[in-house]
Amino acid sequence: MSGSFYFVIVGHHDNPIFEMEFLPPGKVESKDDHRHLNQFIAHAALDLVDENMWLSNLFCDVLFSLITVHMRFIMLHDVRQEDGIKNFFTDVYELYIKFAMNPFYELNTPIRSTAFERKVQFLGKKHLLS
Amino acid sequence: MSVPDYMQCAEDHQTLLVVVQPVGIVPEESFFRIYKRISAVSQVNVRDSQRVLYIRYRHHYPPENNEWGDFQTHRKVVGLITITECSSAKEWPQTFEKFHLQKEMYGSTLYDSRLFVFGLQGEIAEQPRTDVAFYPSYDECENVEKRIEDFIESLFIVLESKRLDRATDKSGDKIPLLCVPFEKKDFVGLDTDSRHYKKRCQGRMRKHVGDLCLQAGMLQDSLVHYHMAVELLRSVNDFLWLGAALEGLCSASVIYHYPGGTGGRVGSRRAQGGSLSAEAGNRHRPGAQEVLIDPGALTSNGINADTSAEIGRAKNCLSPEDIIEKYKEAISYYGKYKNAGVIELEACVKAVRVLAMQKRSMEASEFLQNAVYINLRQLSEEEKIQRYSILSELYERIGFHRKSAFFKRIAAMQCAAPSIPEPGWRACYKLLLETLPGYSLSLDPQDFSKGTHRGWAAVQMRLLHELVYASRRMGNPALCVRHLSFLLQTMLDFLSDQEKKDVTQSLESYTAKCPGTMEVITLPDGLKLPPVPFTKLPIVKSVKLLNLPASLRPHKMKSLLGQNVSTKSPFIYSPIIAHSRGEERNKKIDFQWVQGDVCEVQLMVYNPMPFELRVENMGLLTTGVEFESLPAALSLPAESGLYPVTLVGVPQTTGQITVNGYHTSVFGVFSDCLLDNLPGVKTNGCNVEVIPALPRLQISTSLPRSAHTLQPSSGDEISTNVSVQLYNGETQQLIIKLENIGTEPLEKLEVTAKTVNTKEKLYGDFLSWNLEDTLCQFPLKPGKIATFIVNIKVKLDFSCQENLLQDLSDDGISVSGLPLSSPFRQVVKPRVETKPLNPQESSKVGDFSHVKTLEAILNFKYSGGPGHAEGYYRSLALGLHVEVEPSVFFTRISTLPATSTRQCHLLLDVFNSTEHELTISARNNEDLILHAGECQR
Repeated sequence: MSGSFYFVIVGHHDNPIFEMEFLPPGKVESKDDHRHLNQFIAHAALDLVDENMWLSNLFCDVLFSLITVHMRFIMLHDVRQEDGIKNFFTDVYELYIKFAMNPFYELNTPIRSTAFERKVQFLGKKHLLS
Repeated sequence: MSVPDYMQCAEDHQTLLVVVQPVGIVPEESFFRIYKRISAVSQVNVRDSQRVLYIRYRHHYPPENNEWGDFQTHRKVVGLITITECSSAKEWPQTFEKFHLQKEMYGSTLYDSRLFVFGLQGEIAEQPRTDVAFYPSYDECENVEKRIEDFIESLFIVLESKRLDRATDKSGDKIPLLCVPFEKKDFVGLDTDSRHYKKRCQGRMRKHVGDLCLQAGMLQDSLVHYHMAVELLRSVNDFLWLGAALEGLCSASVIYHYPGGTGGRVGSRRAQGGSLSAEAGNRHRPGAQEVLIDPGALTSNGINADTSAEIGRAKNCLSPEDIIEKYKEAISYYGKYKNAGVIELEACVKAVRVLAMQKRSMEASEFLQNAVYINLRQLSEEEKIQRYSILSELYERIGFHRKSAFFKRIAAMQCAAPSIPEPGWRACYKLLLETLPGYSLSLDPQDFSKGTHRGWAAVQMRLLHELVYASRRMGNPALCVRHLSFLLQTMLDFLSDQEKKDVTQSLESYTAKCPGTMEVITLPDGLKLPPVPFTKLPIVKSVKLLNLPASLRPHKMKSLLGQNVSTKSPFIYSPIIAHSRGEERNKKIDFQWVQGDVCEVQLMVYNPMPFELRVENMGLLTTGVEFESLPAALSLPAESGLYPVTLVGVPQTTGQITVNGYHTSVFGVFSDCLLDNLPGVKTNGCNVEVIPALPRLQISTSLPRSAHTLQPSSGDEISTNVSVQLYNGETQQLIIKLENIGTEPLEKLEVTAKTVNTKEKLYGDFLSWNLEDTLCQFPLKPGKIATFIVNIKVKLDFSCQENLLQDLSDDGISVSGLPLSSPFRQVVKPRVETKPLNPQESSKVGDFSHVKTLEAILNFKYSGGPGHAEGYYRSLALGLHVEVEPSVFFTRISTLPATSTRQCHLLLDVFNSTEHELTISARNNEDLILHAGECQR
């Protein structure tokens, strides 16, 4: 059984620069209210992420990986799937670094690239929902 | 025990719990006044010893919590102070009865009690009693504090006796088993003689003695007792009490390590170790100090317990790291018992407070996380709110502002949960406001104008929506409008088109009831909500102050200052000067406005909204000069491009005027937008000098207006153009009406004329006038008209065609230059030009390019009123366009010898090129009438 995932990249000023939800096939689009809740939870989790900067990147309910440029990847998930999430983070991290090297992309601004979106979507399907 | 005390902290373990309660009818205000005075006595130095007692006062304490008093003695109510009001002696017995009832409630644990009676006088009051104190009124009770101290001393005596009693009877026959309420039934029928049972009893008792020692101010002893208790209880797997013993150990160690306290304000945090900071010095605890100097000293107090001296040293004390370890252990033991949820929760809270002090946020958050999952029972809504609030507070304390905000928001939502019959919107609102810093949101819109957006916009928006909703439900529409306008102003970039529509619609519906203002809204708790000017609705891109129209522009008399600036340098061109001047121009504007005249400022605005934006009441904000702003209303189409808007106003006084900004009314919200706060606004400067009022002159002439516009070289514009068609030599009067349409009298007038195209040779005065006639009508009062007459004379030389010479030479006449000096020619007609024309050519005269134009500018410099006194004048230019047609031509000139050889006859063939009949008169009054197109000799 696969659960639903909410993935977000958070920038320097706690501003989300990329958000995406992964839902298991057949599950209807999550409600708007639910999304807000996700955002609130992710925002609250930033405290722990920042505190955990130098520590491990695996945590009970929320997983995160850190990037030297203080971009924070946060994943909210309702099922345990540590390996998948870990792989997903690794791949998305790579993807993000490539994307950030684009001279036309200004760091810390929302990512509005369909290619990036598509790739993340693909990675999500590959690591999380399979 | 079901009611957790979230405020507990480790050092509460050393306090004695005293409940202060009112009995009968006591005004709340008076009760709390007394309560405050009582609770001020929280530390008492017990006489004859160096120990200090700490008292914890409660005005409310659930009796079921009291039942856990044996488990942890600080939970035990040991003292009761009852406050009552009694006006007559008759009520006295009844009151006293109530006091006894009250005592019974906590009866089992009370060491002592007191009754404070207010208002009773007379013989009853005069009986000296130890347990009752009489005061005539709430104001006359000076010795309350003294009474309390005495009371505490009596508590101490009981405590001390209990401690000694318990501590020494270890050899005794049988140690009673202390237990918590839910254990009681478990021990029924247990073998009380087994070693196991005995050990258990011993361990528990040891722990209890530890508690008592701690309360009695004997920290070192308590540590020893706790250590022993831990050993004993561990061996019998009595986990609950083992937990309690460990926690006691932790508490005592915390008290030792952090004399400043862990529960108090953030300010009382202090570094680890024993050094006392200046602040904590006030709360200096002599007992703790004593421990530092000589840990053994306490035990040498004469009341020696069974603790051997060699272990009563500071080494019993846990290190800061161990404290946390032991807390963890204790909590895990508590966790085994469902009924000990409250104890577990409180232990978590206490541990977090200690960790916060040690600045170990990560571990603290683990404890808190654990606390979140401790399920007590079905909590009431109020308890939930309390729980979330305290979680938020604790997170705040460990520096997790975002987590703290998260829980605070949940608490706020809980206040207004649908299950609550009477939602506390006010509380909800208050809590929501407190969450804002955690979401990097401030309510000052200025914080948003600088730099990039901070924080999670979607979350912030949600929060603002909640604030709006809460303030609406609170019944404070002004607040609601303020928050909604804030949302619109600061989150504009993040709102979708649909959301923009929704927000503005609701804003409009709210402002219909309560228009938004620019006033600072002050909340009851003192928080100030600064006004929210809509600087983005519409967005202003540039502000440009416009000069007055040319005809109204003031000029300084003989002012050469302007030019001098640029010619100061010996260089014709210097980039340095050009540069510095360019900068200067940014701030200073090189024109003036005139008092009483309409002045304009042009704004380039655009509408970022996906629908038409109606801006009403848009006007200028200025300082320095009294300025009457004439507001404008405009309607900007959806997502318009740059759109020019001209705002006008009339300065009423003189001086330097500064345009600070503009005010608008959009969606019913009034905003004052200051330019200083607008990023990226281009402006050509905001300071303009307003000079005193000048009269205004309007010119109307007898001649028709002309479509020709003169482009004068000097750069000033022509306000009116007139044109006239004249034949060569003709004179016409131009009547100019000068009307003073201003409000100041016109005192001075100067007229100058300048001919524009000087190619043509002009003879005589083109324009002539007599100014005196006009000036005698001066000063011209406002609204009055003066006339001014200008004579236009045209004398042009039409003879410049080259075939003239040719014709003349045919005649063998060598007088090519024409006898201009000839007296004849002077007389013939004003000025008659000769032009040889072939007859057939002459028929084409009408459409010929013989029409010459003369253009001139009449400059009226006028002044008056206060502006005149300051040396300013205005100039008005009248463009004059004269088309000159030739009138007569001398087609042929020949000479005939006259009778005298010294004379000759000059024969002129005169050709009338006009369509009118004309008369040529010569000096000898010989008139010759020429019809149109005719040629005569």
